[in-house]
Amino acid sequence: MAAKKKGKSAKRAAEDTGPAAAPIIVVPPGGQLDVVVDVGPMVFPYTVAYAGHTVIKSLVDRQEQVTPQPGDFVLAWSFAHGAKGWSHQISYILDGAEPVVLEEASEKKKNRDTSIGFAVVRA
Amino acid sequence: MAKPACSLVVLVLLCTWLPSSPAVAQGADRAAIDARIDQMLTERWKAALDAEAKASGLTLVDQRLSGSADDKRKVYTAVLDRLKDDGDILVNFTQAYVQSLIDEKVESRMGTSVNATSTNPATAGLPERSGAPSLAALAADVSSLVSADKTAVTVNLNALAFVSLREPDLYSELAAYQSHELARRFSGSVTFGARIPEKEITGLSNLPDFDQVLDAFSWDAKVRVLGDKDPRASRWNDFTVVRGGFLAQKAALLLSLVGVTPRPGETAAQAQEDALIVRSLLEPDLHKSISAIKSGIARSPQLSIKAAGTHLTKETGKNKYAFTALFDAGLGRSDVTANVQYSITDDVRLGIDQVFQVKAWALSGEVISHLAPDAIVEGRTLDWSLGGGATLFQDTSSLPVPADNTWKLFSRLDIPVRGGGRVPISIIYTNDPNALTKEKYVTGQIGLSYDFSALKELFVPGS
Repeated sequence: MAAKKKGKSAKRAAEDTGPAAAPIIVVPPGGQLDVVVDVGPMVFPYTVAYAGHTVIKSLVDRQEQVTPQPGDFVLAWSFAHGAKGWSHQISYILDGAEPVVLEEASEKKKNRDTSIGFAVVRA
Repeated sequence: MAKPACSLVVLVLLCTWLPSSPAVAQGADRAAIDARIDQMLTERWKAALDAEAKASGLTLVDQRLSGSADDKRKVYTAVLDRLKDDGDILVNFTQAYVQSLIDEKVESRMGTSVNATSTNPATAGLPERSGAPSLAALAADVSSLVSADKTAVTVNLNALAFVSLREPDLYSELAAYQSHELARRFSGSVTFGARIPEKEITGLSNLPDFDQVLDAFSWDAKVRVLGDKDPRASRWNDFTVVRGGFLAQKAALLLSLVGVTPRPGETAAQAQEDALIVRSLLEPDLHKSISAIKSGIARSPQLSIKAAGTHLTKETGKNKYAFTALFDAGLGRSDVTANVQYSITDDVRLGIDQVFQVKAWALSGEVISHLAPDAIVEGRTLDWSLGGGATLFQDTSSLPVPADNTWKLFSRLDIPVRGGGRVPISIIYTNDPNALTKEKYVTGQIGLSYDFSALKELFVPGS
């Protein structure tokens, strides 16, 4: 597991492809895709999976590199919360650029305490 | 000279081959187990999807179904039903795997919140739940260390404040909690400047000055002897880390298997239709399963024992000591709370040279039934409580003042209203007329109370 990247402010996903569609992350040939997860207190481990493989399963903040496969594949995540003051944010970093937030939720914002989401990774 | 050189080479090779630390070995084991889980889920998903697609006459190309959204939904629903039996997958999660997840380091940690309630009469009465304050340490959340009302200041204490945390390096919420589970069993509070009715100190309700307010200093110490309702406790690892973690892993992994490759002329939304359907099916399942785990933990039995003292600050010699057992548990749709208290009070009403002791048992219990879920307001229940309590004095014949045993029975209905409020209606039946002084309507031994103020929320625009 790599150390979490700090010091960059996350911005909203800019490649949203429509009201019903998930964002598409286009990875150029040879490009590097990292997934960054920031969490508050967790009692249920969260998971990030890509194309049928668990990329991250953890109770704490993590950043992991995703090795894109040629074509369109799903990058999925799932969070379940049971601790007071819970929060989570999942972002991606493409070739060291600014992190782009895919999803964020927290008890403070009165979000639902479980969530499943996905983006499409196109390589 | 060749032998030592050869040994050195072997040693270097061994060092290169062997894992550099137990943590690395644990991480490798975890990755291997996750890979096995991925494989098992993938094989089952593909086999079930193939079978259900054929049975429904739909074709499967690039892990996407053909057909209408309704037909796809039916197939994916059937596929997920086939994958509900996870027993043989869960056995893959070893104790080392669970511990590795818990012990994983974190870069920052948030302070835990305090839910401490003082167990002295200034801030709480019976029945009281058996939970202990969740104060992690004195330094963890200082803002909640002290609480105050109009006259009293309460300092919440936890045995954890007297032990050092595991390491300056920060760990997961579970690791932080589980490293001091024994210390977390002990808690307490100290209240200064409380103003307490005399009845609460002596238990004697039939005296003319029963409602006289006295300045007091109170303390209590509580130890949880049975159970732990905190989901961070190690006793719940099989439910939280193993079961809950697997449910999240399964949801993400299955969703990641769904094809999203656009066919000629398709929009992104059309290409993602299958994934959106699968997500919409997985989400409520995950929420329901996680809610069931959380509810099971929150309603598990818990027993605490508490010692408490109340001392009047402006009247010499008047002290009260109490020893209490507090129990609560969920039974079906109901929550049961029961308290038993034995108290000894030094009474100086006849003068400091004629001090006498009032000894009493106080029993109380309450059953709260959560009825008609979603019937009035979505996600909320109609709560019906039935309870009672009694104060039984010991050796009343030796007391220089009259002491009558008292009892009361009560029932309360809490009706939920939109906007988060509730309309409480309660009725009390008691042999203690002084217990009815705060009721809205009293006849004989019966008192009725109600509060319709929450109804105004119904007329607030947007409620």
